[in-house]
Amino acid sequence: MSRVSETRSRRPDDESGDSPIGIDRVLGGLGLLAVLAGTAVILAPELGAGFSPGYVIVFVIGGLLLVIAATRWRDRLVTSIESATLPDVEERSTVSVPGADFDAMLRGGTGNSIECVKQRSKIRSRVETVTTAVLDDRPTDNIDVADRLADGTWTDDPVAAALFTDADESLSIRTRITSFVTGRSVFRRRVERAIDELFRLVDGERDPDAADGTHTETKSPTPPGEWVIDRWKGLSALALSVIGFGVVFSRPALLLGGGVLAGFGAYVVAGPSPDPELSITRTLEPTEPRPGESVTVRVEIENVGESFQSDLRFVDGVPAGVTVVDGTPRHGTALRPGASTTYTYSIEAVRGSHEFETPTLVARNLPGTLERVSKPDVDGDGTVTYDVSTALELSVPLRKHTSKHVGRVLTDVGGSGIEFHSVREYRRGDPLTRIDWNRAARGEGLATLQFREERSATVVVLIDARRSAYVAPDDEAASAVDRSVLAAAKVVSALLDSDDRVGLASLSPRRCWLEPGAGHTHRARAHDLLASHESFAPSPPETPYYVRINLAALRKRLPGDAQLLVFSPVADDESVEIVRQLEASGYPVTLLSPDATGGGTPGRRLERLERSVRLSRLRQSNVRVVDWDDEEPLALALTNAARRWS
Amino acid sequence: MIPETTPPRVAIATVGSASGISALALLLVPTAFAVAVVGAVVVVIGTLLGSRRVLGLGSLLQFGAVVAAGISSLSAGLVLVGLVAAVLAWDIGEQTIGVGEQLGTEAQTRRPIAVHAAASTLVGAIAIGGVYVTYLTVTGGQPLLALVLFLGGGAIVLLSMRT
Repeated sequence: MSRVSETRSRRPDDESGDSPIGIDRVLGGLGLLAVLAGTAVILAPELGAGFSPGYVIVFVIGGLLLVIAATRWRDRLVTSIESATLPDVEERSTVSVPGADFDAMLRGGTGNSIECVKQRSKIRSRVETVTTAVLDDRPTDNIDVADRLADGTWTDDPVAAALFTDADESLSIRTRITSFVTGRSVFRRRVERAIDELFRLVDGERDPDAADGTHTETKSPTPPGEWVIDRWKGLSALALSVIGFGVVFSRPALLLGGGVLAGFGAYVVAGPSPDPELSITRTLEPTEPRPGESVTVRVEIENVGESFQSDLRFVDGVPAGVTVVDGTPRHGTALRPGASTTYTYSIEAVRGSHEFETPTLVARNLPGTLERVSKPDVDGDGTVTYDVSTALELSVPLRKHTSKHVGRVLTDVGGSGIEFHSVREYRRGDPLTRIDWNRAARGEGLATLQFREERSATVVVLIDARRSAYVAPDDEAASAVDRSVLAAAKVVSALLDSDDRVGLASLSPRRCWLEPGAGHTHRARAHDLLASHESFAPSPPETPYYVRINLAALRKRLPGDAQLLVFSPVADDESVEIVRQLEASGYPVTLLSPDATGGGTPGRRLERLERSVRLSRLRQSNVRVVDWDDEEPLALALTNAARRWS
Repeated sequence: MIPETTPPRVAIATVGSASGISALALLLVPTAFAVAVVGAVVVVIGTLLGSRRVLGLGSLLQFGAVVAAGISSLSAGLVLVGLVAAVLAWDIGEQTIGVGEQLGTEAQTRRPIAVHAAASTLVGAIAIGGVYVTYLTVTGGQPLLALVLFLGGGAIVLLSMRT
């Protein structure tokens, strides 16, 4: 495929560079043939007897045609027909799957051997870090972990152990053959086995869904413009060969065949440049769906031009953050002037506001020799906005760090309340109802009963929306940020219902801060921010998060009596650092961590191990951790976690 | 989700029947017929797999079979039908592969394929009609100069087409 030049010449792929060589060969070959034929006639005069000079000319033309046809065939064989590449709109591009980069690295294949060695050492050190962390938690004997890795005694699996032992274990021929046949390097096998082994150590069993990573390659979409498609290249070669054979063997049928093919040639050459005039309308139903609800997209394409459009291929500009759940945003059609066509498909997103991108239209002429790629304008709806749901009965377990106001968090402070706390000596002014009359009746003097005071907490809900938090277990699942924001909306409602003061902040370079407060307007404000603030947008921020600057700014704003409810997938070491810093600076932290790690490929599984190591490090630094699985409702995760703490 | 490239059934049926007709036209020349049948099967497989290379190989076999049949003096009408049907099978097959590549299986792709197929078939029919009528009206006894001019001129036109 080559672009039509500005001068709009039909065939910019002129063979100007190639053809002199071709002609020379043709002439040379022809001359040689003539000389050989002449020699043959001289040596055996009876050969030339049947030929009249006129027929020789015809014969020569036939031979010439065949030779030219041969060069054309050669040209055809080295050309491949390439049509425009259309954008991959079905794929969600804003969220990554944790471990995908590791899988790509492990698959390798790119770069030279030095690059390869570097990558391997990177992979090895990453697996080593996890292994060390896992083994540190399980001290079986007094030998240093590093030594156990070095001599390979940390596991019974020789293949897994070989990953860290410096000495190259001598490979059996069978191993080498296996690795050759399966196309899997010995190194890769070791990494996979080591990860298997780690899973066994952590969970007590092998991860069942171990599988190969799938590999997909994407080409970048073709830019708008008019393109030549070489699909009929080879037609003249065919015609010339048919005629050539017809002439050489004097078969009129083949000559006629050449004529028919020439007819096709005329049709192909006469193909006009496609110039579609279309009116495209998109309708969304509903435009403001509830979270997770699917939206039906209806696209109508009408030919408002004067010419018949024989071949239209349309790909709608599905927003990057949504997934196509039903039907397809692609449509092929042919339209008479005035005719229109309609098709529908469904998209789904978890939340946020998603804007449709410009669609791509490919129009071809009838023989398919010219292709116009364009980005047409679309009328009608262009945005889907998901609102954030609020209705939920949820009790959020809070830490005993409260304000002076009355609320529902049970504290260890004695006073008025319901649950018994202690008994103390009577002081003047104590209410009569709280005097321990039984004790007084026994003549032991007056004493006052104390109950655990119930106070309200000041909670700041902190959502991790750094770039690394935009992760999902697979390509279609909700991202960790999506789940965090939705859960935060529920949590904010629940906390406000139980008279706590709630604030909102984001861990993101795009800052968001809502002072802790209470009341209906406050709730509405919080939900508004969650639904539409840019820091919780469905696409990740462009700039990185600088802990020293951004976190310090956040800490200045946090009130002294605040406790934090942090939502984070803990997909990198930085998140551990942030949470530990917050906990250390006197704000009790409850971490609600939506699990965004998947299974299957070695990289994803390694990522999962790394996350569990991070969570256990956080638990060690006194942070309360709620590990929220993808399929588990939030309320259940909270209840389970709270049971463990109390 | 990457669109799969399996083409719609109707298109495969059309390609299959075009290549089948091409093979059937050569029935009177057994060797050519056998090669053409193999070619037809390869053409259909190529369309199914979405592989232009396989499709091209099948078409090449079919064209070879037509030329071979023409050389063994098959009648002009059958040669023309065989040739045009083989061209159509390739053309529709390629169109199907191209549409499948860009739009995937799930999408509505019948119309662009059908319109393209109809147009090509019409062109093929007109070409056969025109050439065959000329052939029937002009029979024998033409001067050699006419033949040379006809061939030379036709070849030059074909060469200028660069298709």
